[in-house]
Amino acid sequence: MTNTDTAMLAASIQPPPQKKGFSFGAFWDSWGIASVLVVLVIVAVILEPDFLSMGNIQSILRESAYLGIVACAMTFAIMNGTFDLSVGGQLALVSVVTLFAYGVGGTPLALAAAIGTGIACGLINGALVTALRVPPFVATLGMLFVFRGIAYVLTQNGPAVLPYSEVKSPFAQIGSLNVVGIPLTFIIMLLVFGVGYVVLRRTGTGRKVIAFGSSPLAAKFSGISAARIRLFVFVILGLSVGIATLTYITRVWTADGSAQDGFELRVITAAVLGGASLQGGKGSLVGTFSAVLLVSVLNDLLVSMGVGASYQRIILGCVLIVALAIDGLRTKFPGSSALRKALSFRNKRVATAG
Amino acid sequence: MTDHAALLEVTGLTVEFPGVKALDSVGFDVRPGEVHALVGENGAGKSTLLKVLGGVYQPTAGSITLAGSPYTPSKPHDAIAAGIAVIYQEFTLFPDLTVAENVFAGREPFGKFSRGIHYKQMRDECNRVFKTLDFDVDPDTRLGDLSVSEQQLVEIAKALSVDGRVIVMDEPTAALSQSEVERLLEIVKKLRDEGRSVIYVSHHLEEVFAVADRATVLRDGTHVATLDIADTDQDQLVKLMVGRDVKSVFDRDKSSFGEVVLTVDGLTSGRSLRGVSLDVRAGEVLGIGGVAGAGQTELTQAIFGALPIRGGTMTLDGTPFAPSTPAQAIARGVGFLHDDRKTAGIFPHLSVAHNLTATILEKIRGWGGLLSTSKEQGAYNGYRDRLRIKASSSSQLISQLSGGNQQKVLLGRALAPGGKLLVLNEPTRGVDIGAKAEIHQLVNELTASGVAVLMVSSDLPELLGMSDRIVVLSQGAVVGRLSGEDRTEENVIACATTDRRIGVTA
Amino acid sequence: MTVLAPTKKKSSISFVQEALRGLPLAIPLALVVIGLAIGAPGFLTSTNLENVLFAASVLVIPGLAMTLCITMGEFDLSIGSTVALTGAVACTAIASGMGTGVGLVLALLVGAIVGLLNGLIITKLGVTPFIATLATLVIVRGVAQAFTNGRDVIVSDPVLKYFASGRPLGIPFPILLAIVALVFMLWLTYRTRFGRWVAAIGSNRDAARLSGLPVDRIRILVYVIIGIAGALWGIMISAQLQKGSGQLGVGFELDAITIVVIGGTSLLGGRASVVGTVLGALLIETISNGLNLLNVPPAYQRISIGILLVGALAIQAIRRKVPVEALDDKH
Repeated sequence: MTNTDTAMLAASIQPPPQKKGFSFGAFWDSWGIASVLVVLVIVAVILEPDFLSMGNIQSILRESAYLGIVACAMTFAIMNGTFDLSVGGQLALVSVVTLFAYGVGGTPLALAAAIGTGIACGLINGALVTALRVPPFVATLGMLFVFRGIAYVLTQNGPAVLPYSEVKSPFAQIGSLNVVGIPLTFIIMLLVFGVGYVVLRRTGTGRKVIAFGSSPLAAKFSGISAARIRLFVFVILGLSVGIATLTYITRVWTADGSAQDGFELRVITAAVLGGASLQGGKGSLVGTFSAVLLVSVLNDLLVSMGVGASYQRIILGCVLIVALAIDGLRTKFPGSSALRKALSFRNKRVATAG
Repeated sequence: MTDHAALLEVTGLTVEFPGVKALDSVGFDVRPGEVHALVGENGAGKSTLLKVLGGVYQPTAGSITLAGSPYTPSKPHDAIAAGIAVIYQEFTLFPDLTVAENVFAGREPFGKFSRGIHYKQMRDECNRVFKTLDFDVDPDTRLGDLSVSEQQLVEIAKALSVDGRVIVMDEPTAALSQSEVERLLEIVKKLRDEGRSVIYVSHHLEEVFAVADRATVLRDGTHVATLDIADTDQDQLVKLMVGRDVKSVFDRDKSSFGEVVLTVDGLTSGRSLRGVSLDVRAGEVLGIGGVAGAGQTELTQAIFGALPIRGGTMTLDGTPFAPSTPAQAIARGVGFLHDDRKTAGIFPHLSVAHNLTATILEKIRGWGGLLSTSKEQGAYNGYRDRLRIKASSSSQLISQLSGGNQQKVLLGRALAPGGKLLVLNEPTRGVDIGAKAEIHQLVNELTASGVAVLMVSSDLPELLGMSDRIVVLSQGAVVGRLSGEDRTEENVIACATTDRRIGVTA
Repeated sequence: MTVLAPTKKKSSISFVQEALRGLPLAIPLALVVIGLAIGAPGFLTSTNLENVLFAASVLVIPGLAMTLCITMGEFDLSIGSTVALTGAVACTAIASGMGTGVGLVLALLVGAIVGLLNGLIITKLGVTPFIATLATLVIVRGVAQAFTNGRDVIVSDPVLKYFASGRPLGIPFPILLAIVALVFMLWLTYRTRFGRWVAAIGSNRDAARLSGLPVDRIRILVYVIIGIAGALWGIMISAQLQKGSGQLGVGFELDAITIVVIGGTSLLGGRASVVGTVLGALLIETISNGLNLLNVPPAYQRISIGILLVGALAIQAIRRKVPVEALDDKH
């Protein structure tokens, strides 16, 4: 059984009276990434002449949607103490199926196919984890291969495409339509986050998701059904992929088994940047939302500065590390100076081992 | 025949963290060949003091000398090298390694040339030390396969193996059964007779009086007194610890009992429960006693639907009761307190309010099926007042509360669905004296209002003082039913560990 | 009167027992081999079997390093990118005339540096391994691509080739290297203090600190080992392909982790299954090879590996009757 020095310390001393006033730790938890986003936007306005142009902003928002929608669901998963490494494969598969469905039955069938396939993928993952008791890391890793494989099989004779002739169709418009200047895909993302926030913070199910992630055993003895909650989490992940696909293929118009390689890692990166802790019990939808936009703005800024794709990756990786280093330095506990530093941030993560 | 010159001397020790002074100018000394008890409520500073001795924390001010020379460990390794072995409450052991590897962790003998570990040497040394402890275990056993008390003996063996001059034990009996406690106390005396010093930290004053030579009382991070055990008694120590006159912790008045709420008939589950039968009436406290691992945990979990039952039946309020999940038990009005607060009780990332309402999420719904903040706040406030929970606000993180207050929140969670049966597992384990009394008081109030309570406790005075009737378990079977005058410490131990049977048809 | 609770001897573990923890994997492996021997034409030829062993050996070396890391309770997602970077470095050095020896040394050095970087970020900055190595995966991949300017570095070097097609003692070099690595890793894991300390950290990291183990130093060292193993992998791949490229190794880390997990090493740490990792590599490569022989399209191969991975652990978990609450790996 592991314990933490800080946990033992916290258990053995009376809590100091809660000081009113500014606590950096609490501020950073809720608004840290959002603040960085604001700073980055200011930097971008300075460095990139066209940053604030309508077209550019629209493009950034439009492109963020599919990553954001899945990141929202992934935040749920990480707060629940799990994650899904197969979302990239799900995206490829759902894209392929949806494009095929469009070719067969038009927009209604395509919509149904996207949502349906997504949910089906989620159900499979959920069943593996709950009924067959496969650890999520392994189950979703395996299904990543399987989903991509199926997508490859389905596109053996060539990638699935949305024909150019359809570009003005309502379906394709999902990806390019602007409503009062705001891209439709971004509005969908806002809606998803809005619903997600309400479900997470204001429903019993959301509370159970977080509680289970915080302490699975305590959840069991509080009458929370582990299987049901886990299944819920994986299904909404699948559903989110379904919705995200609609915002994705309506811009990209083609898909096969190789679509979005590495997507799952980008999604998890966004959620973790946004404050979700892989230990469970901790996360922030506001943070994830900001993180997604942060990544998009950063991307846009780097492209406009002519930074090559490879350097973009380097910078993105470093951003991730810096963000987490700030986090990590707060929770590291060996050595009294780090302990003091950690405690000065109110030690919100007493139970989270580094 | 203790040498009165001090071996370990602590002077003016102060440990400060931002916002809180954990230790304030504490001073005491430990003589060679002495058992020195360290007592105090939770939050008194005992743990911090141990961590300083163990090299985990550095003091802000003050000094420590060991055999006359300054002792300033900057990391745990220094403490071990100096001969100070601290056995923390949560063991510093590795479940996946063998016993021998655990005893020698960090100091494995190895070949200078081949760099390989000398396993034979480790094994022989282990056997040698185990013999002195009367401990019969193969050093190649995987540590995780041993029981808690056996693991503790491994910790002690570790301390002996480094020839520890000062052995510090932090709440060593928290997870032990009565007989294991007695064995431990014998070992402590033995260590003292060998000339070693033992610093013994414990909430259980009976143990302190059974084994210690002197006791130091800490309160709120300061040194209150150091007394010879022979010159004092439990009441005086309690008074010094708490700073006020505390009336007897147990105050069980015999109320009248109502209808039978729970019956258990022939409950069987694997080898941990073998045909257990009992009943609990409204307004009554039924205590469950026995050696650790006798089936108490399994019994309560089976009643709560957290353990599958292979045989036997139960009824609740006269109707058949067979929950297959805790949710079903909760729905039928059963409240449950787990014995392991840290891993199976609290949700460490959540607030006290969220922790408390975890079992009544349906009840705090507002419009549209969403959770209502006002209802949740109302529920929390109600229990905060009733249970006297000390928290700065309903949104304070439960991890910042003391053990006793956390326990109260969990009690609130168990009570919130409003049931008529409360199942308590070690309700005051790791809880300081003040909160302990409050929890017992609460149990009294609950039974006065007609709630039936099933209580498992390894704290014998608590078990005897709070129970109206006692059922003693041993190896999954009922070996004693004690009521009235039969409720004595001797009877409980006798039934639990020998062939004696009371109130049970053989 | 003291009342003693009875003590009893428990089952003990011997090192042979522990080292062979992964042996149950031999059964599915045997089944697959038999199945392919019967159903797949050309499977049992010595050339083909050698190919399987070859491919498995290349995978075994990073797999063994990863076993060490997972036993510690952590993992390293960046090894695939290390493969690309180190291969590119070696080939670039060779192509610019610095000599094969220099190229190899540089590659190993770069691998070690990547490992050191991982180790430092994780220990000194306190970032969890999953995220830290995720970030370095991205960063190192970026560095590899920038370094090669997006172009492959073609070489034609006999010394480098030796790493792929050389046959010391008549056995292909990678296979020999794998055997050496296996023996070394068995000794390291079970017979040295370092190996036991790695297991200790995986078993209870806080206890490791309190026991005075140099936890941070050990963790950094493990990541450096993985970095070097990644460099070896990069060298062998580049030797096979006779080129270095910023695109190599994508997804390799998942292969390495897969064989470790299938092999029986627990993701929670503390229990290594060294032999299991080797068997895992054999199993994966045998299945891959078999599916190739049966002309199964690559897509189906991916599916089968996925199902295999999932199935292996489902069986493990069901046999242990793991409740859903206990499935989380705390990283």
